[in-house]
Amino acid sequence: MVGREKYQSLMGHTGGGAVWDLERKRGGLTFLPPFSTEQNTSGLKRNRYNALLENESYIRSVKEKYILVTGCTPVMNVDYNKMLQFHQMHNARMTMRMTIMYTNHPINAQEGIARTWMEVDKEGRVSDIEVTREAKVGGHCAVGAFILEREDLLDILYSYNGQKNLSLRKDVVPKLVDQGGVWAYGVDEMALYLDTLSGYLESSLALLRPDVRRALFHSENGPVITKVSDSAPTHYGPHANVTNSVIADGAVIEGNVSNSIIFRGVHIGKDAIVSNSVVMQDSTVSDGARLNYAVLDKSVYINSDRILSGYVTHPFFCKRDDRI
Amino acid sequence: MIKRKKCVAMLLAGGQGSRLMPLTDSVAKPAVPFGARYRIIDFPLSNCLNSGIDTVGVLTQYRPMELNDYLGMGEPWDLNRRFGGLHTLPPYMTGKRSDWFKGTANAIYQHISFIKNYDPEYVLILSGDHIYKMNYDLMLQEHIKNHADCTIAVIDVAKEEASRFGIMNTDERGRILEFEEKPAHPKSTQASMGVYIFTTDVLLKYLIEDEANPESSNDFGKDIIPKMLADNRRMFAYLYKGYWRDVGTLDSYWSANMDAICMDPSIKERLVLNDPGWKIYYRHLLNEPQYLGDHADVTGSILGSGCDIYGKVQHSVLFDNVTIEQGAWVKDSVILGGARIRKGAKVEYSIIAGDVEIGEDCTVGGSVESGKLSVVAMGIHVPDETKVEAGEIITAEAEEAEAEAEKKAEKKADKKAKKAAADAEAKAEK
Repeated sequence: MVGREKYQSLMGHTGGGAVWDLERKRGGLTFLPPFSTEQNTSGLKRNRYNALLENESYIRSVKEKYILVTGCTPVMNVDYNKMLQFHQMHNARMTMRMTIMYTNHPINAQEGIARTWMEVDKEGRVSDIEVTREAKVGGHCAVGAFILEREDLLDILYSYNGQKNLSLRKDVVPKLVDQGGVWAYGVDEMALYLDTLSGYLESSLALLRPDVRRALFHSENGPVITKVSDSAPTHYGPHANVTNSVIADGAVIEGNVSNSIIFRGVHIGKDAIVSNSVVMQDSTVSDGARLNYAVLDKSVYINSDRILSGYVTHPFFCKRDDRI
Repeated sequence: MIKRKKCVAMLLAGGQGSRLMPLTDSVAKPAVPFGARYRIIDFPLSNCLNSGIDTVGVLTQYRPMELNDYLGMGEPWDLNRRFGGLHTLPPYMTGKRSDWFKGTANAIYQHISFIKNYDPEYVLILSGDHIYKMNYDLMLQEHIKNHADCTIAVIDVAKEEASRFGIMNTDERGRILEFEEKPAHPKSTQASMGVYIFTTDVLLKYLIEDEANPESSNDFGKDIIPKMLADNRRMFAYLYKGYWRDVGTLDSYWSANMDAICMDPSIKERLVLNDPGWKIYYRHLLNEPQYLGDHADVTGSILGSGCDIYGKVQHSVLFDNVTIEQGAWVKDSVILGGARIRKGAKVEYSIIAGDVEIGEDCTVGGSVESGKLSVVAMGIHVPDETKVEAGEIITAEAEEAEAEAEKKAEKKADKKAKKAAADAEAKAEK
């Protein structure tokens, strides 16, 4: 797990990886924080290429034949074994995860985000690759993950002689595509993109759809595992009124909630009205307050009778520990 | 490395809990689910963690498999340790003897070597069938201050209920003068909670003597405590104030679950489950948050994770992964994990065990006022449009017996029909 910045909360979440059965004597989870030296203080300003370059010694030290490089988004439930089988079956040099359904869902049309688009033949061979902010309807869009042989990855990195600030998808992969052997593995699993604030709200609210919940949480690919905090059961007060919402444990709901996502330990006071919103861990919405299309980060406190409203394209956002 | 512990806890978890049948049909009583996401044993174990006791021996006997799986290495309670931690202690065989635990004292006696391994100054004896949040360390401080040989935790009960408990009669300093098991005419209202602290040397001496006595039933309440009193040992009562319930019967189990819903701060002694300073820890299932649908109506209730609610839920406790379909109505009930209440079904004043399915348009149970609690045992599928009467207990055996009776009746009818047909034939021939 390669850390970039503000990773304290992330490390706190994963710990040694025991929750995911990744606290192992052989292998398991290793956290790789950004690497800065006196000569190179730009450890923070980096992309995947630099992250791989800086962690070359770790990549060298592990024993596995293949390496999977992936980001955390989009949120999806996939089985990487299927992708690896595809990779082996086609004797590929590199296999990129790909979807042709990127533009099918309006929540994916998050403007200003550059995505990788590929020319792919019937079998899955990639013949061209392009990075652009323009969404291509029906096009083959890369979904942030690729597999290749570990030693091959090291060779590729060495071939650039320690050159810094290259881009994997703009410089390295196009060269590999020219050399041949790059394949695209199509996935049809539900993918939720979280690259902008409005995208975050829309993707979160997509969880209210039964098909999305099924695809993420009841997939035959496996369960989604998270760290637990031994919260109490969710409590609904005598005047609670909750419809079409996802509610986590430890929440106390005394007011009205509709079309919303409520995180662990949240308190919704009496006569409060929360709709179309995301309220994160341990936040409080006091009696009589109203939220519409709001995104509250952790531990936000909304005083009584405050009225906050945004719109789906422009959510009202409260940062962590805000008090209104 | 420290080779010694100050206090070791021994948790008696071998109870069958026969009065909790059919909930204890396949699990030991301490493993019975409680409060939407816990099991009964989570309470004493979390109390240990919260009181700074890190060495716990859990004595198991009756149907230990699920309990053992649940306890694992003790990691949910921070009890996975190099020295100390959680250990399950079943009865075992030796060359000379092999035996089930004969009584509570014998259970501890069989595992004296466990206690000796940690060489503690004090031993805390707990039972795995009560719901309470107690700081054992405060009790231990009292024990030490009193130079006591034994300290017994007591709770003040209502006078009319006192004859259901073991009652301690003490002097004004709390020294126990007399112990009466379920007295007809109680002299005090201090009931034993089944929580004891012994100074180790004294405990070992009495356990060994008790084991050597063939007349003894090897029980703390019946043998060890009376013997120590007779010997004029320093024994003190420690008065615990707070929520404490015995969940030994179906009725008390139901009502303690209902207590878990209450968040009214005006009630002084209530069960607070969301106190960050005294968490109750438990082993989690892998599941997602709960979802409440468009027509859901949930009030005055607590729900576990992974529930899917489309119907009406009033004043009830729902465990993990419960599904309430649209038009179903659940009131004053305890619904255990994985149960599904189908469309139009109505469940009132009932305990629905794990993985039960209540068919469409069923009616289960009567009102709380009827005083008759209905129970459907684990895994039972109640067919559509069935009526389960108030006070009825549906178990697999009851169902089988019913099915068999039906079959017999059918066979009888069949035979009769055949006989009639044969008779008719014979007549016709004639």
